[in-house]
Amino acid sequence: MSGQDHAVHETVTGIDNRKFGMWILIASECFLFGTLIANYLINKARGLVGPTPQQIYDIDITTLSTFDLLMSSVAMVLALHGCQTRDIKKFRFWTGVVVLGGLIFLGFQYYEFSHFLGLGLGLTTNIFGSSFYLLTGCHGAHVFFGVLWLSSILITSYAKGEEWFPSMPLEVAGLYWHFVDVVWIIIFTVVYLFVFV
Amino acid sequence: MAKNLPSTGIVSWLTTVDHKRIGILYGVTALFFLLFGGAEAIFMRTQLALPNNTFLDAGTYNGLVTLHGTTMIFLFVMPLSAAFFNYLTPLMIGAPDVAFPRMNALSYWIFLFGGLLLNFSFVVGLLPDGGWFNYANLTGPKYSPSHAIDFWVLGVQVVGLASLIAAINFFVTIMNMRCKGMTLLKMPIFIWTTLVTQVLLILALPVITVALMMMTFDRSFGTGFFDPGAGGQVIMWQHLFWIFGHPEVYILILPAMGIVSEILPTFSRKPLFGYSVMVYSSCAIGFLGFAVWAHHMFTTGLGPWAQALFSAATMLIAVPTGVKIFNWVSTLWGGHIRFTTPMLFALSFIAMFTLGGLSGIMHSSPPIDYQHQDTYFVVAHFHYVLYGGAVMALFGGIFYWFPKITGRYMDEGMGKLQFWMYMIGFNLTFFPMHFLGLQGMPRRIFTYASDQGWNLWNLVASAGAYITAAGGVLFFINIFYSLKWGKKAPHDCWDGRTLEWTLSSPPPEYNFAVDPEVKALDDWWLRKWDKDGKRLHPEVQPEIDPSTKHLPNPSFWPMILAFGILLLACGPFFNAKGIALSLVGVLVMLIATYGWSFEEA
Amino acid sequence: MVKEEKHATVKTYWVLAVILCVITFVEWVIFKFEDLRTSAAFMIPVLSGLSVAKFIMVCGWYMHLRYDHGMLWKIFAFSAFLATGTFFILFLALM
Repeated sequence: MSGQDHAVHETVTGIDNRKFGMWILIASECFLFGTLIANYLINKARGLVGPTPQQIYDIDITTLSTFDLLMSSVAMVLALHGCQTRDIKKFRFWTGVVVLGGLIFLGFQYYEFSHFLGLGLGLTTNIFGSSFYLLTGCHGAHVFFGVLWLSSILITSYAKGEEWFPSMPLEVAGLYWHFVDVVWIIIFTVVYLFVFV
Repeated sequence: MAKNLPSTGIVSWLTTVDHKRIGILYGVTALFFLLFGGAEAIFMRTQLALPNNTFLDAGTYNGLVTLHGTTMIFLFVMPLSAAFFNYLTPLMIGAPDVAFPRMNALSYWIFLFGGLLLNFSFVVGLLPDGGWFNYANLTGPKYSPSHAIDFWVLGVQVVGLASLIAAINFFVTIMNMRCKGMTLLKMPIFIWTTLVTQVLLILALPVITVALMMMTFDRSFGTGFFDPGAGGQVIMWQHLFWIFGHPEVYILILPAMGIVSEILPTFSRKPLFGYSVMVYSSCAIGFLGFAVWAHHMFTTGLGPWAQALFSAATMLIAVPTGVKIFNWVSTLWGGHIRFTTPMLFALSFIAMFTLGGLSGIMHSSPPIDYQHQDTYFVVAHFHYVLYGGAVMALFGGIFYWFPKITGRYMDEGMGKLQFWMYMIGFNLTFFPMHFLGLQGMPRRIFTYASDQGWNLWNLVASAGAYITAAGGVLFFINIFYSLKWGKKAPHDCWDGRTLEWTLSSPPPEYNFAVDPEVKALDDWWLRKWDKDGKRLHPEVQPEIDPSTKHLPNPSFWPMILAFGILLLACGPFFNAKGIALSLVGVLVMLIATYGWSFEEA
Repeated sequence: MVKEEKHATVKTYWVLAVILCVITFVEWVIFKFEDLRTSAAFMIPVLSGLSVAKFIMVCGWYMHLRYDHGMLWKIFAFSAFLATGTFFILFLALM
């Protein structure tokens, strides 16, 4: 996936190779996050010492971060739309909003992790904590990588000027970003909303 | 920058993005690691040839048995299969290259570095010794405090990543880059088995990725995923490992089945019997492979419901597998058979794989498995399917496609002799293991007492191993001999059925001068032979001026990115300072990613 | 070039954004009621349903699956289904 937008050769399915590749990666990540979520669900009530999920989760903060990530997905489609309609201002603005949304989400995660640490839940305190941090840490790492990716596109836009509209690479980055959001939708429900279930 | 890289010499190999060269790199590297896996086996069999032997001590034996299994699976069978995926996929579907040439190179370099990481354990004398499946909590921080196990955990993590990246590449290539007229049900059967294998890799690898992360965290960061003292469960490792591990065995066998399905029709001069059934069976095997994993865990106390359901699913999966065996035999039936070396290997596959399948179906029954589990009976089973099956097929593939790749046939005399040495050696080694298992000999023991009644068969098994080793030496001699003095090969080395035989041997760098167009399955065959058996003379691909074809540029970045991944993986070896090393690795990865993104492809 | 017959409009994106916010708000409100948040019989179907709705909106419109080649949603659905099934079997086996 280079910074240029390649001429699309005819593909048998009509789907661009890079877009297809990203969907296959997404298929694979269903199993990655599936394993992490399953491990969390198996272990959430098995901690022998230390805080339990019921004692520690803050639904208000988590809802805010969910809202933030959802809005960043909105910004993502608007950025793509701007790029596809060759509107440089919209493309750059909304890509910047996605990056900001991602950074805010990471900020919320940092806050949450520090808060939990202060309440006595570290990575090694108990199996619940280990499973929680492994799952949300992996998700957070994915968000971080997405922030890097989209920032790079934004910076490259300033470097390459107002005629550069990388619609397919941006669409591919968008698919990744939306998937990371979708995983969070699942985590929000299964980890946080179901904490008392 | 990329366009100025040389096209010959070592640098051209380090920077290649040509699927054919990458295929050769995979093949050569796989054969290199075969020497390691084979040496490990010879040492083990030497130790076990006699009771109370003192050739190896227990610790060394444990390290060798672990590395033997890990090397043969991850560094020999899988990469050798990948060599065929790489070389053949674009040729068989009529494409100029794979969908992502640089990512293809990246997979190879990650694999090489992962394999070197695993074997670096020899250099520092810290052989991983937890078995090829590395069960917790023997392999946790308490009982395996040295870094030996980390070589396994991180080595497998790295090579797994290589396979995942390659799988994405091949899946997209096969779906998106088939030539005109080649619908899915007109693809060569090898491409189908390749496709199903990639799906299995894509879906199963992430599970072991997580399991390996959990084990790394337990060993290096003090978590307790597999430690009951922390609330974790030892059995969790087994579940996650085998959720990956079972699809993994189909990943190992499906490419071999595809190779056999290509070789048999060529040397029977008959089409593959029941092509579409073979396709559906491959898909069924792939899908059901996710529902049978706990048959590796029948003796762990799963409970009657789990035992029954996994047993039923395991018996069910034997059906599409058995169907394939009937179809291969039916392909041969009434055919005009040529007993070339590749054909001998393909025929032996059918017989040996069937034997392995029979012992397998025996232990699909939990009560019977209670007797087999952890005995040499299981060792016999999986060597029949993996060696008598997969490895024999892969050797058949080497003999079959060697002339296409190099332009010279391998020597038939040496080939047939090697084949018989392998057949005799293999069966001498592994058939008696059925007896040893039923007589109670456990797996993974470094020696045994002389009054157990196991002496004779162990000696026979070891003798077989030496015969096999000699056959292996002969194979390498054949390779070197044939490269220099082998009979020159034409386009259509064997009167084959698929598109690679329309190209010169070796093919031009750009593959097809004229994009092929197919009208049916085995299109090339149908253009050569009409319904009455009369020989037609279709045109092979013309010679053209290579500069008229645009090829992707070579690049250094894949190798550099792979190196960054290696550095990241080495961090956990150095405890606290390791984080710095891993971060350096991440930095190298970032630099390589940017370099890659901005160079001209 | 990729053929695009139908395509979501910017207006659709904003409408969906509002719906996603509303659903998230509703989930938050539900959680505030102790009787509801401790009832598995209520929480599991209702909140799963709400998150599935969000999932479908993001995948179908933002990820463009509604308008793309059928193969893409089938591959995704198959993988998600197989993952769910495999881990469901795992839960049963660990019980």
